[in-house]
Amino acid sequence: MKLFQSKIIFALLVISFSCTEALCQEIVPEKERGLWVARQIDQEDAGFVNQVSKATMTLRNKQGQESTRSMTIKSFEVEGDGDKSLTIFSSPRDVKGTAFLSFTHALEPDDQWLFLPALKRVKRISSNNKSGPFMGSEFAYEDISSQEVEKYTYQYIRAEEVLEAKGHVIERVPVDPKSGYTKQIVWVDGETWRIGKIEFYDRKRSKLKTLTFSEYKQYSNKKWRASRMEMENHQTGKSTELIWTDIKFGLDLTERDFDQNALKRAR
Amino acid sequence: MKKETFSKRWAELVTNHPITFIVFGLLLALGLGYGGQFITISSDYRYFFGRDNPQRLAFEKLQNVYSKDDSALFVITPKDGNVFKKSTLTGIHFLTDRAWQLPYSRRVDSITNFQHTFAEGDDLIVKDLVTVEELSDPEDKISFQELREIALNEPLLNGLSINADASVTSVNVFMTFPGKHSMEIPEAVAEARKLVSEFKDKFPGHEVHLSGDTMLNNAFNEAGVKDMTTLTPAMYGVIILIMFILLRSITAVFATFIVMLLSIIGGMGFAGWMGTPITPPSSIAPVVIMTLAIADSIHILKSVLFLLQRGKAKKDAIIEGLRLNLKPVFLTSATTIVGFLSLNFSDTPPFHDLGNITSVGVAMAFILSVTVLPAIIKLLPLKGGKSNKHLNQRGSATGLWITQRRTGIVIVCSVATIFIGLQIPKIELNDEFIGYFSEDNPFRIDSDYTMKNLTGIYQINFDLSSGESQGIANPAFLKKVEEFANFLRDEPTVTHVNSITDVFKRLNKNMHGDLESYYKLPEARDLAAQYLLLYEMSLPYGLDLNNQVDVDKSSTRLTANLGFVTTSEIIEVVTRAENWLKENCPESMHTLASSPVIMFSHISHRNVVAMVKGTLLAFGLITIVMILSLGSLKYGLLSLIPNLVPIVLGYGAWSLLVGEAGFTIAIVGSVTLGIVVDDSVHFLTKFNLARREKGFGVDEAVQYAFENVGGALVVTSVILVIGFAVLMLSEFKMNYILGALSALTIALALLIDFTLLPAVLSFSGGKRTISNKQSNSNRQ
Repeated sequence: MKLFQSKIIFALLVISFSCTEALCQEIVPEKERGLWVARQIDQEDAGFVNQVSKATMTLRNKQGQESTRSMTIKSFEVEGDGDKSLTIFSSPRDVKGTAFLSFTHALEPDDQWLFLPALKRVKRISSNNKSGPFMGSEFAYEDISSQEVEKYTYQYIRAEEVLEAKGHVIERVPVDPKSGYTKQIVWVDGETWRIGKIEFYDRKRSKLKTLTFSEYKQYSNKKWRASRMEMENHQTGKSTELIWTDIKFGLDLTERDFDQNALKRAR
Repeated sequence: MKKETFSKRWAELVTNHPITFIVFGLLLALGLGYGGQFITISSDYRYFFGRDNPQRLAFEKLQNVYSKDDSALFVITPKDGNVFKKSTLTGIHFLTDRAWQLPYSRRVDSITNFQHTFAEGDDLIVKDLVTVEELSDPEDKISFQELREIALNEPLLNGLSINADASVTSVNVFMTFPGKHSMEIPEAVAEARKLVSEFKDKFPGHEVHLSGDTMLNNAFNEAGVKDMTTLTPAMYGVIILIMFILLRSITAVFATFIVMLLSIIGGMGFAGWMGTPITPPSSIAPVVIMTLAIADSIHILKSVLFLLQRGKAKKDAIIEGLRLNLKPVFLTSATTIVGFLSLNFSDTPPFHDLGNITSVGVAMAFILSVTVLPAIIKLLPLKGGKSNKHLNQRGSATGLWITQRRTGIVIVCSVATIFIGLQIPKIELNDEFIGYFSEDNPFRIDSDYTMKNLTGIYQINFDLSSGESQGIANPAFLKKVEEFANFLRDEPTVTHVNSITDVFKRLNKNMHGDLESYYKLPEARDLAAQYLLLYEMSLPYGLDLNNQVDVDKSSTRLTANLGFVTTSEIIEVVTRAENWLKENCPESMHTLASSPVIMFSHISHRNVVAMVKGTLLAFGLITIVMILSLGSLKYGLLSLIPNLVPIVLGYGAWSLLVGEAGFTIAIVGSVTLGIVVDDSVHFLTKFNLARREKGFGVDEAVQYAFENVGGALVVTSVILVIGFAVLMLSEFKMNYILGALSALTIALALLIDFTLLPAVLSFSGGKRTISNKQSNSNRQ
C-alpha cells in the first residue's frame, strides 16, 4: 500500500516537473489532484536548508485586551524527516531565555523539549499536546509545526483565485487521531504555491478557526514567506496575530545547533 | 351626553351592517395574526436581564476575558456505587469522547481526561488520568485503587467531578452558543439526551442525570412551550364550560369564543411581527388575554340578555346593551392596558413582552367586543334565558345591608388593611433558579440530585487581577489567591473552589520529584511562570487554561460552587467574599463576583424597585382617567380606595399565607391594578349614573349599582379568578405565583367592591338620607 502510494507520488512528481499548471490539472486524475497540490507546496518549500527569524505574537480576547510574546525561531531542514526547530522566548520577562526544541516527524509523535532557565533544566514535553495551544495563543502546535505531506490525506475541491493568482482549494484530513481537527480547507495560489488561508474544523466538524497569511515577501533564495499570519477563533472571538521579521536563510547552522545541549546555550 | 349619542349611533351602525363588521374584525385579527409565523422561542436565561443590567454586564465582561460557555453536566451514578472499575471508567471515556462531538461543545472535562501530572525521572508527564488503551489492556495492569486515590486527592476533581466516596462522577461539557438562532440550545440538548440513551444502552447499570446552564436554558424554553401548549387548551375548556353555565346561550358563548380567539391571534401575531421571543413569562399571554377578553363580552352580553328577558326586541336589546356598555368597556380596557403597559418599567424584558402582547390582545378584545360580537349575535338566533331577577333583588338587599353597617365595615376594613399591609415587607424574595421549576420537572429533579450527591451547581466567579502583565506568577499574588480560596472553602454553603493555585502547587511538587513537601506555591516568580509555561505547552486540545487565565496572564478566574442556598444566603456569601478581598488584598483584587445565579439574586430587588415606579405611574394615570370619566374629582379620588386596598391585601395575605416569592411578585401589582380597576369603574359608573340621571341619594345609588352590575361583577370576577388560577398549573413557579397572587387579589377586589366601596360611598353623601328601597329596586 505504502509502496503503491509512493509510486503515485513519484509519478506525480515527474509530471509536475514536466508540465505547466493548467496542463497538469488536466493530466492529474481528479482523485489525486489534492495530493498533487500538497506536493507542489512541499516541493516549493524544499531546499530552504535553514531559516532564522524573529516573531511577535499578539493575543487578543473578546474584551479587546492584548498581550504580546516575542521569540526567535530557528528551523533546520531534515531530508527524509520533519524539520527541527528551536524557539527562544525573549518576552514576557518571566519566561525570557526559555527555549523550546522540537523534532517534527511525519507520522510518529514529535519530540519536544523545553529548557527552563529558572530551573536550569531541560524537560521533555509529552507528545499528546500537538493539538494544544502554543503559548496560550490561538495557534495549536500542529498549526505551526512543519507541514509534512504525509500528515494528511487530501481531496481537491475547486479552482479559485488565491492571492490574486490562479489557485486551488483543497481539503486535508489529519492522519493522527490525536489531532484537534477533523479537516482543514487550504487556499493556495497555483503559481508560487503560497498559502492564502486555512480554515480549521473541530472535532464536531464546525468551523473553529481561520488562519490568514498576508504580506508575502520573496527572499534571495526565491522562497516566499508571509510576514503576517492572523488566526481568528470563530467560536470564542479570540484571535492571535503572528508577525515575522528579520527572516534570514542559509546561515551557518548544523544539527548540533538543534540538540538538547543547544537548548541550554540558547538564551 | 355627546358620548352617549356616539355610543348609540355606533350601536346602530354595527347592528345595521353586521357582515361588514365581521369581515373587518376578521381582517384585522388575521392581518396581525399573520405575524404569528415569525414567533420564536427564546432559550437564553440572559434574556431575563436587560442589556444594561449591571450584573449581566459584569458577567459578560468575565466571559469576554476568559470564555463564554454554558455547561451541560452529565452526572453518572454506577448502581454498585463504585466509579473506579473498568466498565464505569470505559463508559466515562466513551461519554467524554463523544461529548466533543455534541453541537457547540468546546471543552469536555471528566475524570478520565483529567490532565494528570507527575514526575518521571527528570521529566514532567502530563497525560489523561486513564486512557482507553490502558482500560482495554487485556492484562489489566491499571490499579483502580490508585486512580481513585489520585482523583480524591486532587482538589480540582474532588467535590466537583467526583464525590467524596467515589460513587458519583460527572462529564462536564462546555458549550459556546453563537446565539444566531433560537434552536441552538434545544438542538444541543436533544443530542445530549440521545447520547445519554446511547450510553445507557452500551453501559447498563448506570444512572445519568443532566444539569448545568445549558439544561437550565432549555428548561426555561420547555417550560414556556409547555405552558403555552397545556395551559391554553385547559383555559379554553374551563372558560367555555363557565360561559355555558353563566350565559346559557350557544350563540352568546360562540360569539364570546370568537372574540377571545381573535384577540389571542391578534396579540400573538403582534409578538411575531415585533420579533418578540416567547419565554415562560410571555408564554402565559394567551391565557391572560383570554381571561381579560371574556370580561368585555360578558358585560355586553349580560346586558343584552337582560334586556331580552325584559321583552325588548332583539335589535333594540343589542343597541341598548351596546350603548350602555360602550363607555365602561372602553374605560376598563384602557385601564387594563395602562396596567399592562407599565410592565415596561420592569428590569426583565420578558415582562415587557407579556405586558405588550397582553395590551394588544386587550385592545383587540375591546374592538372586537363592540364590532364582531354584536354583529354575530345580530345574525344568529339569541334568546333571553330565564330571568335572574332574584339575583338583582339579592344585589339590592346586599346594598342596603352594607350601607346600614357602613361604620363597622369601614373600621374593620381599615384595621385589616393596615395590619395585613404591614406584613408585606416580610415577604422573602427567593430566586434560587432551580426552585423556579416544580418538583416534578426533569431539570429540577436532575439538578437536585446533582446538588445532593455531587456538587453545588450555583457558581460564582471572581476575576482576580494581579494588576500587572504576567502577574499571575507573582508569589505574593498567588498567596493571596490561595488565602481567598481557603476563605471560600470555609464557607459552609461552598461545595468546591476551583483555583489556579492548586495547579501551581501540584506542578511545584511534580518538578521536585513528586515530593509531598513541595506541595506548596512556588517561591520565585520566574519559576512559577516557567512551570506554567511548561504545563500549558503540555496540555492537549480543548483542555488549556484559557478559561482560567487571561491572555496577558495578569488575572485569573476563581470559581466557587454553592450547594442548596437561598437568594439571601448567596448575597451574604458574595458580600462576605467581596469584603474579604477588600480587607485583605491589594486594590487590583477588589472585584465583584459575577455569574448567572448572582444575576438572578438581584432580579427580584431590581424588579421591585423598577415596578414600584411603574405601578405608581399606572396608578396616577388610572386615577386621572377615573376622575375624567366620572366627571368628578371626589369620586375619582375615592376610586383609589377599591383600587389600592385589594393589592395591599393581596401582597399582605401572600406574606402571611406563603411568605416566599420570586421576582414575578414585582409585576402582580401592575397586572392586577388594571383588572381590579374594572370592577370599580363599572360600579362607580352605575353609581354616578344613578346620582346624575336619576337624582338618587347615595344609598339608593349604591343599591342601584348593586342591582345593575353586582351580578356581572361576580361573574367576571369568578372568570378572572379561575383564569389566573389556571396559571397555577404551570411547572414554572414564577407563573404559579403570578396566577395565585393575581387570583387572590382579584377575589379580594370583589370583596372590597361589595363592602368597603359602598360603605365609603355611603359616607360620601354626608348625612344619611332616608331611602325608599322598594321604589328603587324596579327602576332600570
